[in-house]
Amino acid sequence: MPTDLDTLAREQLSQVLRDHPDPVALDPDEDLVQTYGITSLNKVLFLTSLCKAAEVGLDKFTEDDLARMRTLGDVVDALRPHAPLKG
Amino acid sequence: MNSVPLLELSGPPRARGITHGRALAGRLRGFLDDSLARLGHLADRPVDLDSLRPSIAAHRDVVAAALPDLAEEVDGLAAGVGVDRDAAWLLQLRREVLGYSRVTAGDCTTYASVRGRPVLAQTVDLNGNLDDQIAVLAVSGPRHRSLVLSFAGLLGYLGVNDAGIAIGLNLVLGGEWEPGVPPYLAIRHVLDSADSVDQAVEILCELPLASSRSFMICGEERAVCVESLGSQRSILEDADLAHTNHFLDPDFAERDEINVFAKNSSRRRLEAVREAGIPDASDTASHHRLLSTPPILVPDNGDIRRERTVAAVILRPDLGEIRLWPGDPSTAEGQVHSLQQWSASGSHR
Repeated sequence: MPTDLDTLAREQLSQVLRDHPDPVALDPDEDLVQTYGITSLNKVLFLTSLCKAAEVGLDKFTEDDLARMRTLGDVVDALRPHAPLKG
Repeated sequence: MNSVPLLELSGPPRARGITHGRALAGRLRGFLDDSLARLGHLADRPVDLDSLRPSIAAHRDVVAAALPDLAEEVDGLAAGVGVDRDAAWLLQLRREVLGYSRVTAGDCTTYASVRGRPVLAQTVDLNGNLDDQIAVLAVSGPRHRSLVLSFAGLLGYLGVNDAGIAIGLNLVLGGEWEPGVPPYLAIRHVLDSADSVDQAVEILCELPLASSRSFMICGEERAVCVESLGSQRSILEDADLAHTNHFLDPDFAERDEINVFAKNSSRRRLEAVREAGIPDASDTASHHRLLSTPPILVPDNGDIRRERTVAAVILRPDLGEIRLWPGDPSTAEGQVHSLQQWSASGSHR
């Protein structure tokens, strides 16, 4: 699941970014706002769609949790404990 | 410790506004000069007063028709501060100007109880770092005297009047926000004129409100919550009531626009109140502990755009009293303001 979650997160982030960059090229340590220019609304949409894709309950996170997710790596780390293991 | 001016406002509406404006002129001019009442720090796009004038005028027209005294008072505020009339109106309309989107987090945790002696208490969660803009207004209104908590020139926000009515509020998100009476002015009108809980509810049901809101009203024997969504109202009544930032009425809940993560926060704060139970009205320490402990306390994370706790209050409708912690209530020193401190003429004893 960790690699699947990482891939899912990259794909979902790419979809909400303006230029839809190659998911593989996204750096998990870069700041989502400063580097990728993600808006507050797109961050909500990104996490919502990622939770659904990763089968993580939307009730797991609050706005404070969202504020602490500054990088793609933060997002993956936050979702990983709640993501069902597959295979 | 935040310095909180206490302003005694009496006389005709314009005079009340002038008194308010003169007393806070320097502070309010500084606030207006700070990226246009800090709206520039909060909005996704640049804001300037000229571009807002049509919207301000549209709201003012409705307020002037519905609440002419308060419209005059806002004009008096402008004269007292020495600023453009529209700037004083902007101070009343900051929340409506910001509008709402699905990223708006919501603010405030409010509860009331009439199980024993009546009490209404709440946190005030606002963005814009408004804890440097707090004032307490001791208002001699046309019908009632009241104590009103104010931020940055607002004529109303929450308070208690000498008819034994306390009123607080929560932001809720839904419906179309249109030119109308800002809920903060509606609250001030309730405090100025309501003799009873029923009258307060009637006022809130009849006024053309500009934006969705939930109002918590606590009289000496009844606690009522009025949820407002567009032109519709839902009335909840119980001996114990609590409200945060999601609609509780099932029909309104279906039209709630709060985003899921903010709603999770809102639910956790509501559950925290319900699990703790509402303390006895006289148990100040327990109220303070509840209001100054996360998740009900929303601490500062350094982001001016984020709603955080900038004050907490306990209102006692039976005593005509506001107990206020200005700023973060976990560290602020409390202060008490009472209507009994003033004679009917509004002069301090």
